[in-house]
Amino acid sequence: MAKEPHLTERERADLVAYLDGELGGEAARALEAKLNLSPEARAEADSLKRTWDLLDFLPRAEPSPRFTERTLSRLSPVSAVRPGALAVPAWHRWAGGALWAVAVVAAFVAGWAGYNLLAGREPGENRRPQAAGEDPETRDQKFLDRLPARVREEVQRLPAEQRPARLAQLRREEEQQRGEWLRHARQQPNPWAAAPPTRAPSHLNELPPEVQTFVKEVLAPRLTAEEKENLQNADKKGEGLPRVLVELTERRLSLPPLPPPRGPILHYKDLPQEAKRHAPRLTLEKTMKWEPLKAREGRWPDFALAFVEVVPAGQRYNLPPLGAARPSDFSPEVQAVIDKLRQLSPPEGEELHKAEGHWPRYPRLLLELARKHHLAVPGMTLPGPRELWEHRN
Amino acid sequence: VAATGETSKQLALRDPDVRLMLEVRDDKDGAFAEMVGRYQHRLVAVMHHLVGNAEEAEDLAQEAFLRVYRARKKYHPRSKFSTWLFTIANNLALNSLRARQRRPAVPLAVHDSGPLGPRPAEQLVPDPGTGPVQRVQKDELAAQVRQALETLNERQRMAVVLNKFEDMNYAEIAEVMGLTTKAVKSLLSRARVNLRAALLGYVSMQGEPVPEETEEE
Repeated sequence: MAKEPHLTERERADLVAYLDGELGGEAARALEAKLNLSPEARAEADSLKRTWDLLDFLPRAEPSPRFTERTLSRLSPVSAVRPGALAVPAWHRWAGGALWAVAVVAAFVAGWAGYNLLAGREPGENRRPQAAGEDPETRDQKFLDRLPARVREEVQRLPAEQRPARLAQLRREEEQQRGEWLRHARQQPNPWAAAPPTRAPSHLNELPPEVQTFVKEVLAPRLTAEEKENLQNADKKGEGLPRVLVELTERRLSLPPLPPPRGPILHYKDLPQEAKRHAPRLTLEKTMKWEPLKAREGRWPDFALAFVEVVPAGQRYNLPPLGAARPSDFSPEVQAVIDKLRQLSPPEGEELHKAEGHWPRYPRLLLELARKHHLAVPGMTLPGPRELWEHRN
Repeated sequence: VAATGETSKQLALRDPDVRLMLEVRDDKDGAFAEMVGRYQHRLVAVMHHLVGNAEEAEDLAQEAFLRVYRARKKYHPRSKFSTWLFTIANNLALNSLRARQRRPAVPLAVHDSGPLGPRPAEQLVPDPGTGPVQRVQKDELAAQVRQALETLNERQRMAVVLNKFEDMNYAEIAEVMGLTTKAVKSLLSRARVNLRAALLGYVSMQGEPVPEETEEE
């Protein structure tokens, strides 16, 4: 039986609440005084924290692949066959809207073409490896989940016996389309190919149409007023436009937030409790770090990056990820790039794998490796090969 | 009535899940499936931590979703949707755990967690920085932690799981469990002391230095 002679039950409850970031005011100050004075109390706090950390060793269960379908099948028969009832949405709606999708596709064409050219692969060879033991129904469901909502709903409205044929047809169309992209890409390997730049572009209207769309529809809405002004000035004066675009893209798009339901973390109150424990508000207030952190609230990824900075360096490794930091957090297009990186360089793929769950280390390493292997990362980098953007005048 | 309507509207605007639940209430096509898709991972994980059995966890999670569906017409947003969902899950899990106490069953080992345990491909993925010996030690530790969790009474276990794995604060846990915040504080304090007693040997083993961090720029 453990000996617990150092704190009263009430003090221990306060201590636990303090460790959970739930104790404030006079009670917190009294407890901090006790912790400062008593090595035994500090040891008690430490052992309670270590115990809590041991819970991280519990494996996390995942629902079986057909969980949604089986749950819906348990509803009344009338509800179960309602059209659209199986419409499982894709998570990557955070990016929002069809225009984003257009831009992602534009970037994907360039990225996909780039790495296929690099590896000299043929259409159809690029399918992601099928998970070991994955049954056809799971594969179909995953394929279905990736389709646009309109097509998905059309498939789901079909009688069950007609769905496999329709899915097979959609797969063939996708293959064909991918082949088209490749053929197109081989003739036009990047958005600049129609008019190769002989000098760094100075104005937005000199950029290829795909890039102009990306800037207007994807990048611009995420900029602060000051950043928009910088971009407008660079465009107007014709000075340093590529550099400004590269910098703004890196700042606003290179670190995607976590997928829903978590989404972007914009405020201290939105942080996971586990993260708050590494930098409790009271500690931040005492060390004068609270106000500067508060000033970064409301904008992604500024607040999350600022929070990582106020966590003591030795503890950052243990922070839960505050943004996308695992392959499954990213869109299928980015996952395809991750797969490609693993194929191109297994040691680097392993390095990337080890960084999983660590933010912002994982997305930064992903971009670094992609840059090294001349791959565009759809939605996280400017469309087209990176080299063409390095007119950092 | 107007005030209640306004509160509901504000809540719905703040919480996209409330908005989705209102669509479920209105029988919008695909809304319930979207909700199941959105919450299944969290609910199954919480249930698994509570009952320690993958199949039972999945059954309970399904049952919780079905209860949400059956109660949809009576739904009025009062707080975050997740609080409402986990209140339903809390009732189901506590009933299940109490029934089990009346009819004791041998808990499954962590490495034998049925279809929800690590899949074969995942089991083959090497754990970064650890060899087979460390992996065995890690599995053993996981089993010990599981057993320690099972020494807690069901309410302590629920509070621990919601706090640790759902990041719920004391007020949210209190709402889910129908307790006062003060009672939750006391519950979690006793739970942590009990866990420490059950894991005493392992707590002292955890004195290894924090893994070296690659500094961000």
